[in-house]
Amino acid sequence: MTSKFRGWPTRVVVTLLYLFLLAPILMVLVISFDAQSTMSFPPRGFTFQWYERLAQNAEFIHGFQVSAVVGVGVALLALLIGVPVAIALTRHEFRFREVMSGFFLSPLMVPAIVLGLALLLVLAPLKITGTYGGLIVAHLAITVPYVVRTTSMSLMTMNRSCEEAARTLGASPWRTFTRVTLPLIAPGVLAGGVIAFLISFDEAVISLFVVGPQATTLPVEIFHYVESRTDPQIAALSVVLIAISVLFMVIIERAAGLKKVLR
Amino acid sequence: MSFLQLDDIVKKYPGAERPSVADFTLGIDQGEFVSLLGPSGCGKTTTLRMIAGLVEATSGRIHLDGKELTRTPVHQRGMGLVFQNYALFPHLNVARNVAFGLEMRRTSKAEAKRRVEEALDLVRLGHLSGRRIKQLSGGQQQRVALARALVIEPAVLLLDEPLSNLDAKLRDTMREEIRSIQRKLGITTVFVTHDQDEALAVSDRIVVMSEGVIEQVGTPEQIYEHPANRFVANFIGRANLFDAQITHTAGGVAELDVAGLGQMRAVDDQGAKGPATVLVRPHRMQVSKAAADDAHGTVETVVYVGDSIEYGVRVGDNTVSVQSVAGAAERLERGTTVRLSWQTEDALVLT
Repeated sequence: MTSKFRGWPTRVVVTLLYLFLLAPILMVLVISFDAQSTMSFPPRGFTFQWYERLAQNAEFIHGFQVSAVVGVGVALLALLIGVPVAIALTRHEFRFREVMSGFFLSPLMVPAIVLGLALLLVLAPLKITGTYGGLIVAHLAITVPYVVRTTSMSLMTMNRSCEEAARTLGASPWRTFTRVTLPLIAPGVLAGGVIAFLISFDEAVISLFVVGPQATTLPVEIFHYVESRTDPQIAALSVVLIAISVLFMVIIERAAGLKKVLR
Repeated sequence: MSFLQLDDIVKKYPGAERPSVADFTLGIDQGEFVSLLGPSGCGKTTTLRMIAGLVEATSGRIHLDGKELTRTPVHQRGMGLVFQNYALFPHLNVARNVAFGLEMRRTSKAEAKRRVEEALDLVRLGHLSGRRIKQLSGGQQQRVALARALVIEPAVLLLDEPLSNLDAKLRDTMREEIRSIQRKLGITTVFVTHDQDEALAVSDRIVVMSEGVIEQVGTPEQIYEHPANRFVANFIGRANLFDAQITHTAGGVAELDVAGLGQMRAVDDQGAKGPATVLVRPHRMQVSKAAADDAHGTVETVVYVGDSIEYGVRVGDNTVSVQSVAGAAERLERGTTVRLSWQTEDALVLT
């Protein structure tokens, strides 16, 4: 930032803006330790009981497990689909390339609720709603585009003559990919995977359409919980989720630099 | 058939108006150092990439040591290519970069280690084998790239403008070094450059290209002293080109009527009368003071460059460059009216 932005009025404005944006999160943090049994402000008393109850809440724990399994599955499959797609879109000339590119990014332009309904209509006849498989398929629709984007970005910015050099040195196309291309685009691929996991872990709208009694994700459990209960347990859970998100963001930052990935 | 033989190579990209390379035929002998020289866009790099296999020829044939490899995939050709931007692997250190080609050939660990050390010693980088690529200077990266290409003992070493990213002083040292390594190993080398000095200094033979076609093939002396046409004369060294009319030609010498200069003589190996172009290098021209009514032109610019003086002499609509050894003759002032002349053997009739 240049020096003219360093004056104190700017600092005050920026600080206030951040406080405004972060205030709800701080509020959640404070309430999660509140001794009152309904969520309210200001807090009265201090307790860890909501965290203790959280650890015993079977629905939340099950939801967490479902979300974690689905998230990992989604991340791996999104990479398996997204990386080859990104290579095809950036490295090969073929007919309808623009159309394909649009196709793979289009789920991001459709409102989630419409997508959720559409997925229900497709998945219900296949009898995979309410299963891990159904959830993973549904989440792939919105996560593959991110993998395609982060990977494409890495592919476009890497030095292509490194691949050519590997080829002249005797590497077959496949070995060139595994020994040179993949290591060089690893930051983008890793970032794509982490983002896919986070989006899947966080996704509520589409999940609402396709969850079932056996496989209900954490966001959906939370949704159901707050419909009937108002105790600060939910705030404690929120704090845990925020901590997990922050952890993953740190991983991306370390691996690739957030700016590069989100550009 | 030569060691590396290219026959009627054509590269035409779809949608392009003219081919990038057209009817390229050239034989390169084993151990020869050949430069492809030309302005950017002349097809020299495309030709090199076709030899390497990175670009597929539209038509034509490439033979190496009698075996056709026109359709051989890149990784089976065994050519060592040094890229303009070096293309070193940033995720591997110096030794692993050099070892890459040997790993691909599944050379044994012990032998690979020995050969990597040899290659790094050859480019005088033995002490940096553990460094990361980012920690190296441009010149050092260049050497690593050279070692990486040489360690696989390629049939042909291909150099794609390897010196253009180095500063002027380093460029001269690297040029000499590449040439001395090439001599030591006796490796057949194709060197792509747009820099005529570079090409003249290192090559056994130079291939001058323009707009996808070969203009001339010859030794540096042949290219400089006997350029085949106007393009080569202009591109290699500095040149004065005069429009002239050949009035008589016999025994390799032509009598000419040169626009603005009158009756002159020049070496002529074509032996045809009619319009022609005459080449005279600036340092082969003589200039002398003359009375206004007897003069060819007027001194327009005088540039003193230490060991010589460069005059720009206005003759009609053209400016003729003359380079005189400083101190050898009287120094002429701007505005002086002068006569121009040359020795017959210093002037050449071009087609």
